[in-house]
Amino acid sequence: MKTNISEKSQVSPVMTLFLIHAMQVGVGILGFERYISAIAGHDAWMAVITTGISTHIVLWIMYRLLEKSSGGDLIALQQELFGKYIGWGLNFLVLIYFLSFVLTILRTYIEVIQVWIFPEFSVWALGFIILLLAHSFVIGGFRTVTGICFLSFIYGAPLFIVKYFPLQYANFSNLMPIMEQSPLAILKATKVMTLSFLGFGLFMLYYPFIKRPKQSKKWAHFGLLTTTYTYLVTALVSYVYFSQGQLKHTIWSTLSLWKIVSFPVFERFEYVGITIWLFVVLPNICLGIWAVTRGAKLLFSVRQKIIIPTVLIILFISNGLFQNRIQVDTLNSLISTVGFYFLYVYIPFIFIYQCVLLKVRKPS
Amino acid sequence: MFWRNRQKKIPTKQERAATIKDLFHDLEVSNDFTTFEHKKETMSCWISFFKTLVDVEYVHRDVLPFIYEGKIQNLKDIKANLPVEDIILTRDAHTVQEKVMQGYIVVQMKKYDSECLVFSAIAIQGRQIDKPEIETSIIGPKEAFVESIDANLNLVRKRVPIPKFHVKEIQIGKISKTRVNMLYIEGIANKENVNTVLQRLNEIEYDHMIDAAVLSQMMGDNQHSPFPQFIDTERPDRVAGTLYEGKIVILVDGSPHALTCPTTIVEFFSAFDDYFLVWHFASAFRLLRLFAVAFSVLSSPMYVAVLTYHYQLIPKDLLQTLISSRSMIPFPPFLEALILELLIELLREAGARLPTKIGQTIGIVGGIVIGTASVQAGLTSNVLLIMVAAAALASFTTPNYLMGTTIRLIRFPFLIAAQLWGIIGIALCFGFFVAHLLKLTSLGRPYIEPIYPLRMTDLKDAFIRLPYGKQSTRPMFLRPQDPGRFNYDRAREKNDIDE
Amino acid sequence: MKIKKLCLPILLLFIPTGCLHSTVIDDIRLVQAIGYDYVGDDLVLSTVAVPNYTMGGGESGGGPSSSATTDSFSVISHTGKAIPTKMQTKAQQPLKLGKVNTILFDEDLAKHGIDDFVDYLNRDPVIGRKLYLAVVDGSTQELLSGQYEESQAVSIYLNDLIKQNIKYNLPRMNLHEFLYSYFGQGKDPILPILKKSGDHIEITGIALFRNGKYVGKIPIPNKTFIFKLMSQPFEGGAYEFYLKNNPSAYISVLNTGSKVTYSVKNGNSASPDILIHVKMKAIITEAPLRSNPKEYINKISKAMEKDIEKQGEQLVEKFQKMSVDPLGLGAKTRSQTRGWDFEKWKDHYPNADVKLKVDIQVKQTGITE
Repeated sequence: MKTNISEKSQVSPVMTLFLIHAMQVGVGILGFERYISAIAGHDAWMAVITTGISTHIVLWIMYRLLEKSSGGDLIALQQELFGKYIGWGLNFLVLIYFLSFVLTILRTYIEVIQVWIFPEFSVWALGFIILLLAHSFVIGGFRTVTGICFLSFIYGAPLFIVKYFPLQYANFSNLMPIMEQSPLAILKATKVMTLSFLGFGLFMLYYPFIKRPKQSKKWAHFGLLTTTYTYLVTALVSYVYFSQGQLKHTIWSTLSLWKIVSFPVFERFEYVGITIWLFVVLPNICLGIWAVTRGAKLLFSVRQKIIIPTVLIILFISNGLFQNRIQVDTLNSLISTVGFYFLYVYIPFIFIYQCVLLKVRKPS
Repeated sequence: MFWRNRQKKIPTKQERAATIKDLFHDLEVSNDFTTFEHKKETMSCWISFFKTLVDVEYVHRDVLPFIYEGKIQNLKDIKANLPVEDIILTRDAHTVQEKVMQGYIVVQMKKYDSECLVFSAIAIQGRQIDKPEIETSIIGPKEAFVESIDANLNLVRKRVPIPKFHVKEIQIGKISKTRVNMLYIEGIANKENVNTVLQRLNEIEYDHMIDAAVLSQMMGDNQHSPFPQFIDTERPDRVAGTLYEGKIVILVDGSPHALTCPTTIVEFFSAFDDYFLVWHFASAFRLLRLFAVAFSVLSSPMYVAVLTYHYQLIPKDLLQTLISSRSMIPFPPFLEALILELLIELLREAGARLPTKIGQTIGIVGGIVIGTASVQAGLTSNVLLIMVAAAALASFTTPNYLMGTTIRLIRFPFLIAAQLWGIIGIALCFGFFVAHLLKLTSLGRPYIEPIYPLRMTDLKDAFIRLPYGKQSTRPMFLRPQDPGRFNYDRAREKNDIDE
Repeated sequence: MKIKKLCLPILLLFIPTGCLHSTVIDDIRLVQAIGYDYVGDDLVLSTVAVPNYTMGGGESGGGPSSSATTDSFSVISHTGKAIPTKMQTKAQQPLKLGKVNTILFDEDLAKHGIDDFVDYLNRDPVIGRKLYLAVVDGSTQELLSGQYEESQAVSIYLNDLIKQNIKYNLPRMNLHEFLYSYFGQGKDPILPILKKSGDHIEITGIALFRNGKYVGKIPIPNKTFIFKLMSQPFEGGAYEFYLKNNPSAYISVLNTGSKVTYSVKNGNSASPDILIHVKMKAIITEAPLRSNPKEYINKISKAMEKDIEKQGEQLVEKFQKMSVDPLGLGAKTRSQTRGWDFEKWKDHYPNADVKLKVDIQVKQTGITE
């Protein structure tokens, strides 16, 4: 299963940074503080750092896996390791996971719009428009998808800058005393925290589309670092701005935080922020759809142009079926758990498996 | 793409005369075609030409005397005697037709003789080289292209006095046979780009070619895109500048505009003036123009979105101004904005269609009378009037006319989206444009470079223009064969203080 | 291309379903201030103040008017509803809460508890965080429907009044700060107290809350200044006192920058030691003339330090007696104590040994000596 990707559809190694970062920052960042501080209190921000470190390790494993495999991506790798039929089945499961991952992000963003801006906006209509927009990116191929990942980084930058406003209300003593919680609590929070960092699993599917993969290593780790930094600052700002008790009652802390931001020409930044957030969510959806269709193309040997509409229709219908918050939450936690085991258990497992396999095969 | 790759029958079949006789029969129908017998004792010959295409004075003064004098027996003698450089002796009716239509004189020994001597006596009638009208600048050269391709080429060649400056001529138009020149500097321009342009020019199959603007639409990468993919300019200095960057320029006979390609979107917002100003000011004006574009596209959609759905965004001090200005308006904000935008577009269109002097009057009547009256009549709010007028003004800061038109018109989809889904709608609409721009190419090169793909070195002359000392390399996206303008390291060697 | 052609009609199908309820700005009435008066038996008289921008100055076809009148509606209902449904029946156009900037409670309701309202304000995404809550000494209905000298709408008048005072005299207390203390541990919320006097509204003090119940107040002006000094760094605000309680030796100083630090020892013990250290830079604006200015300034600052320390400690003692913690001593203790227990702290707080130390540095005495 050799895949030849023409240079025209490949992207430069620098873009790995944006690909990784854009995929990790999605809807999770809007409200992750509540979950980690429920476990580790005001020390929960340390879990962000430990999670950041853990992602570096997983990424390192991914690079090792992909470099050693001949096919270049996860699809080829699994078929190589587990044989044609088991490999095919596993690949199919992975694609289902990624598809649900996209679904979670899409549905949660729609949920945010419904709660915060337009309660009467129908899930079907909104889902349709966003998927239509995603379609126009995905049919442009990987370069276009990378383009939106990169642009989302630029468009998202102002959102990062407005963190300055809540700092005017900061109580820095909220972070003290440092390391009051036990390391065990922080580790537990780390497990929860990883759920927000999961997006970079897609890396294993677009890896062959990166020019000079050796050089991209540096940028990929930079991407993880950028993500960790983003989450860390977000967490710290939330912890100094909100009291712990207040945080417990806040579902989307970042959005609540934007309420305090006001400019002479407009107030209530959350409305603008959620709008700009579309461009932060969009790369998640686009890259996810792209990766799923790419994988499906390799699995089913069908043209990607045919798969894209199919996948979009599946997404559209399943998106519309989730009608309330509880269902969305269930979906969210389910996908997060699956994602956690995929990245932190399954990937190391196949790494070891590959090592053993290569050792066994070598002498023969 | 109906003019490309179409191998059907050539529609110009009947336009080609098979024999000289047929040709002359055709030509004689026109009243401005002159043909007469010129008789001498020893011989006689027939002279024919279009008196409207030929410099008649020149014919009588410099040509006919040579035919009268000397011992001329046949056409060869005439050819030897005439002090004209471009003389062709031919029997091909096709050539004769082509030449006579360009203003050549045909000499035959007998009427409808198949052997013809053609030589040039073209009367050049056209405008004098004038000041630029569209891309005016306070400082810098004041020459603009005219309708004659030779004069235009002259203007460019003066500025690029090197043998490596190549001009390739192609004829486009099955009937019109318009001369189209492709200009580039060998050794700087990318070979692939040159070939692409050449290939695209050759692929064009259309009956005529009136102007460069038509050509740019036929050659574009995506003909459905609202964004122009070639910069058209009337300034020879700008053309020379782009040639030195490694771009390719296309001149069309009869068009006072040159096309330069490939281009990126930011270039459409840089006026050539920017290169004449100190870099701080040039950069400031560029940023101003980009802000103007954003304002022009987004201001009235934002107004509609905020006033229709997101009243929470309005600061409390602004509430009173906005509400009281809108209180008497019978229409929803969307209709109000649409009416005003259409009114402004009407004014612009009327101003463009009318002669200059009346156009100014229309501007005053429309701008002041209709604007104030509509506010007083309570049809539009004065806040919106200010915004729409400022947005219209902002859209005219775009130096390129075609891009300016695009900017003015793309606000309408935004307006509709704002009415449907508020600011989310604006973001979605913006998303669709981003998707389109990401996919768009100019001559196969990405259109929104240097933003994506990110090329740091090309940012030196994009949103801002850095000083010439920093412009050591030619734009990367052109993939020039010789990327360096000068040796940056040597230029950077500087003395210490007091040395 | 085929997909595109297919998409268009589908998109057109979706436009009607995607249509949203518009809230065109002149077709709604923006509630800017809400007042709640306790009637008894969990019944509340809600009053909303709605500025009427459309009425004033309409002579030139909707030119901006300089003044706005305020309409107010009142309705009795059960507690815990921002705007009772009954209210909508009285309004010509739908009432919208998105621009509320002041919410008032009368003293009875505040004593009864405002938890229902807090829950609502925290929950509804349409409510901003920069709005002000306040307790009214008297009836909020009267306050909101009253006529004032200011030509502005009463809601804007109220908002500006509180904003201005917060800058100089009162600690910061917008909705966010209220929620912060209300939900947080170790700090109790506070609100300004307003009073209508004639054709003016004035701030008469700070209301102290314990779990959403109004329990006591700090009177204006000197006490609030000291309270602000102890609770946050700020600049501005004047402090007035009499040297040696002598009415002829009246002295007024302007704060040009103060800082406060807390140090806590034995945070988990039955009587924690808390030291509040205030550093203040000041300008003397008014003082009787003396021959030796340097010595005199020293004397003033010493006397003032003593005065503030005394009053501040008295204030804290009062808080301890009432078991309210508006200064956030609990939160400060938590940040300096490992293994802090909120439940135990509640018992320890009244016994805490709180010391106030003030350092005043007089920078200048104006342009004369």
